[in-house]
Amino acid sequence: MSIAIELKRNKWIWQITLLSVVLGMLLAAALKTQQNIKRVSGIPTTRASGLVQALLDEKDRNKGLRNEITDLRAKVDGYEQALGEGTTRTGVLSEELQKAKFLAGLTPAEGSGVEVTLLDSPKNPPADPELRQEYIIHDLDLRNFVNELLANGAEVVAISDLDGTQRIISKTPIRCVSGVIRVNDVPMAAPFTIHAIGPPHNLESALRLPGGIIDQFRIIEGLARNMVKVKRRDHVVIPAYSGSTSFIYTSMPSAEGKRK
Amino acid sequence: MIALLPLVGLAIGFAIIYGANLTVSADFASYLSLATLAGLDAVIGGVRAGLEEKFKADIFVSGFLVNTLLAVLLAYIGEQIGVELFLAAVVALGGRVFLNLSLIRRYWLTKIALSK
Repeated sequence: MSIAIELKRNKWIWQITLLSVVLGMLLAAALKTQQNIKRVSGIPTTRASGLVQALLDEKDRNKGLRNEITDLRAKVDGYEQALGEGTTRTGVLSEELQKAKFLAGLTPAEGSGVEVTLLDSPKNPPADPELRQEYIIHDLDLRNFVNELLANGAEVVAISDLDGTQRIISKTPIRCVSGVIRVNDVPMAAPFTIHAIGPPHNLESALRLPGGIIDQFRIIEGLARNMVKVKRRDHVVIPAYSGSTSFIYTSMPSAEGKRK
Repeated sequence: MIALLPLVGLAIGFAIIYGANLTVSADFASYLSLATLAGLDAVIGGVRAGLEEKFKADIFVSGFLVNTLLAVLLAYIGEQIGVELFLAAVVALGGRVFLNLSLIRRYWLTKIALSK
């Protein structure tokens, strides 16, 4: 059979070939687009299971980076101290600097105090969505406890979950973003532990005061017993603040400005 | 040998667009993938019809165009009303691709067995 005859008999193959060209174009465009999405988003896949892995990896990396920040700040502290050992003048400066950093929460802190644990209720919550809210820890609870501790003589406060610790400093936000509590913009999950350095007895009795924060913790009877635990601690160690310290809109007034 | 022509066509079309570096915005990415699947279905269906000597050019070409557009349209409507019609198109088209592939395979195997 000559090729010419075969071509005539298989006319349909030519038509299919023609549309195959179009199909090839579609395939290439789809492939290119998917590649482009992966490249632009920096996520190696668009599948849900892959996204979960990517999220976990990113979380790990975040944690690593936060640890790196803490390490680097400790190193800077070390250099500053080494510098201060040189002469009396630099020594005084370095001491002042350390004091300022300590006040700002940029150095670790230790002392006696209390440990407050806040857990979601282990009891089965009712179906009513409004009552359900009573059974879980909210950002408001964290704010209230931190505020109460500070109001009763706590000097340094930090909130921990199972993943890490966030030091409360002067510009620390505690808020809920789409169901996830963020402290210092780091997402956290229950169970929370609030560490506070301060007078242990005063802090504990202030929290337990009749009509106080634990007494009025939840409307439903008996919930607070399982959700809030307070313990005095002889030795509390709170790590340094490891978040951003850069200001964009604020600057220090110059020395001349102050004198005026 | 001539049966490989569609594959050559596929490669040519692929090379043209791949070389031209053309991309579509991410919003339309899933529609484009769906259109590709519909095109694949039409081409493989065409091959099958050709092998069974029932091939008709008008049915083939219109099937290619209409299926592609309908699949995209259905998926779009599904997205608007919150039903994943996208999946229906993927299952229907994907199922047909596999069915036709198995028929094509059977046809060739029979032909090889007869020629022996």
